[in-house]
Amino acid sequence: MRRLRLGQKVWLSISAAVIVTLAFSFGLLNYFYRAVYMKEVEQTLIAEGTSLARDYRGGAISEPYRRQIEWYDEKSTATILLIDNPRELSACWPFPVGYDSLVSGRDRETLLSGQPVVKTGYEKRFGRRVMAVVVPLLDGKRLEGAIYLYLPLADVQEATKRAAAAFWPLAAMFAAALLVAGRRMVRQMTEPLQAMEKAAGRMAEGRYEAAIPVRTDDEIGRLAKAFNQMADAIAKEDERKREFLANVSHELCTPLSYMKGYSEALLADLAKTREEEQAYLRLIHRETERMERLVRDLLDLARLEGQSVPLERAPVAFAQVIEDVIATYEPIAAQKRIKLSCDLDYDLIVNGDADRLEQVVRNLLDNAIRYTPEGGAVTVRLSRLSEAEGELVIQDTGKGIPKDQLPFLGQRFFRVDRARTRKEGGTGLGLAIVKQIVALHGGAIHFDSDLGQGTTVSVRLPLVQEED
Amino acid sequence: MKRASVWILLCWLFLLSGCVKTSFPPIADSLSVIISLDVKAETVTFLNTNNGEKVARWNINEPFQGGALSPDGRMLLLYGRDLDRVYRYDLATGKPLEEWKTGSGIVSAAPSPDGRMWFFGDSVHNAVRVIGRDGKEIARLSVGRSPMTLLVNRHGMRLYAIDFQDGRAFVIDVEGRRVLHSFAVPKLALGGLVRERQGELWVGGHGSGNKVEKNIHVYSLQDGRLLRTLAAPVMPVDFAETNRGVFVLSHGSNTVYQFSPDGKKLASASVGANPFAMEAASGRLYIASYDSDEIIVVDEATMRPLARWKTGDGPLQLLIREGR
Repeated sequence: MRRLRLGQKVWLSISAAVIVTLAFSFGLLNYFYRAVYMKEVEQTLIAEGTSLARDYRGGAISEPYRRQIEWYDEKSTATILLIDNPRELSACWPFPVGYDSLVSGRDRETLLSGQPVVKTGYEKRFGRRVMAVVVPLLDGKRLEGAIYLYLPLADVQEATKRAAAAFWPLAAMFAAALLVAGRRMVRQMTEPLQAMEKAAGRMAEGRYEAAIPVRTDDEIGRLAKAFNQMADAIAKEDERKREFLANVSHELCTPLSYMKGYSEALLADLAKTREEEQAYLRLIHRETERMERLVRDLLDLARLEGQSVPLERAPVAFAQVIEDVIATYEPIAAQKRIKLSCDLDYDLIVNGDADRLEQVVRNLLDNAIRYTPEGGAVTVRLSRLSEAEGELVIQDTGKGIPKDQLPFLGQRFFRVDRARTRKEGGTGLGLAIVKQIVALHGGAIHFDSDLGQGTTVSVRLPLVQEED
Repeated sequence: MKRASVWILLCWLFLLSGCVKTSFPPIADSLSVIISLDVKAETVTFLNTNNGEKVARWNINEPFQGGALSPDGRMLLLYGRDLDRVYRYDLATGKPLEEWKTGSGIVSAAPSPDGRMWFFGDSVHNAVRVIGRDGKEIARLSVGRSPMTLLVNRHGMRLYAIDFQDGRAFVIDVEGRRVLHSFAVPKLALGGLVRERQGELWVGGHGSGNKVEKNIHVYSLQDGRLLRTLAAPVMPVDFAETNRGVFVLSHGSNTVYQFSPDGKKLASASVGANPFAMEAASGRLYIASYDSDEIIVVDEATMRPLARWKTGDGPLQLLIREGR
């Protein structure tokens, strides 16, 4: 058998629910007629019978009493019989008289105990289904007679039939409306799901545009929205990956082509002198180092992003780390005649990985010094923002970054000026690494710059709070 | 192995217990008792005839419909249409005697006056069955479908079987074991009285269909001719003849009538609630009131009730056992 689709299943469930509900309500309607209406009729008959029986004064049934009952019979909607024939009262019950009495032997027992008898069903004597109530006329223990009141069940059930006649067309309309509404609802519900299924299939083939229509704001609508977002994210990620691959190949290609060209030149004895040869080798060596740095940074970034090497956290005196890094950069700064000044708060303790934090400072300082022209200034400041947060600010007087490029800082291989940076030896991964490390420490990095105005990088990190 | 033997032992005990019949409180031979057969409660109630004191109540727990006493008053016999046997009890010991496996359908029973034979009306075999004191069937005489009334004349020479369904009475020669002749009686005839001196058979009944019987039909014992009818409404079903006349009990109107020996109505009295059975003894009538579960004692002379004695549920038949 073919598997049912979700829409069909829901539709079938709705249909089943509608049918069951209607059947149930019809049953309930019938039940109420039986339980309430029939009971009501029964109670009325009993009340009438009992009331009539109250006028019986004992002894044999008198003629006036009989006339009274006959008179009442004419007035009442129910048919009322006065039975005083012992045969009809099953007086001969212990003997097989073979007569179908109006009052059976068992009924007689009930009547003798003073209780009325209620019978519902086919009565042979009247040739139809009746609801009958028999009320005893007792004189002590003598069953002198009985008042037999009955209504044809057809009359009683006429009401049920009328109700059913009204019920079924209404029920059919109701069901049809429900089913149509249900069908629309099901379609509305399953359409986005089907679209998602198709989109997922397309995505498997590498086409990432989803554009699932979002019609509602319920779970399905939100799912569609989330699906669209996911598709966008995947598309972007895919795009980034492509770009990254292109960047990596490009970055690797450049030093490789250098190395290839110069080594070919060497092999072809193009170097005229020993000095020239040395120069070629130095170039090759430089490119090897560049490649090594690139590969190391890539590996580093991959590790940080994949969190394959967890941070080795320990309370770190951040100022000390910064001071150590600055010490290593002092000669370079001096060489470029850059004024390197610092203002550090030594009380700040960061719960972090000392080596990684050092890497952050190194990369940022490296950038600052690298892009600051000779005679410029680089300022390093570490201060407390609040009890829980410290801020490292590295400010340079370099050429700055255009405002519109700021959001791209920290992306892999993003360079403000591609040609120049390569010349200056960066891999384009330093800031990405910094950003990753800061994020892993639960901090945030912020760039502020404008072309020609210098750049300010501020890193906020959570501090170890002093215990009371 | 052990378990099996325990089971066998239990089964054996069960079988043994099945053989042991419950016995009932004994009824002393010296005591005069009126015996009420309470068919609704399935009990037999023994009341002292003198004061109505309850002597014993036997819980039979079988759907019996009637009973009979042996002429010597020692043995009570119970039967029923749906019982496959006739139960017999020794009154003096209260112990059951050997049952007679008659098969179902027994609707009436009467002993011969000498106690050597029993007559049973059988509605399955449509016969009167003659059974000896040992329980062996002596003869089977075909009659109507439901011989519910069996009347034996004083010397036990004639048996009158009045059929309930077929509207016929059968005259049986007991010695010759044959049906002499039969004659038509009203349908659903029940109860009767053999009056040998007058040569009359009085027959009561319920009346058939929605017509209730209002009359006693009097037939000639000789040839079955209908001699006359006597009004005794409604549904005369039991008769008793004493030196004060013939008493007739009509259950449909709760009335007892007194007729003179020549059939003139002398008196009537309202009695009980749906009474089916009447016995006469020592100037009193004992009338079983089926719906009110009591025996009403009526003075024959005044036709006034003397006492009401409680019975079990649904006294359908009375038997009188004189003490010795």
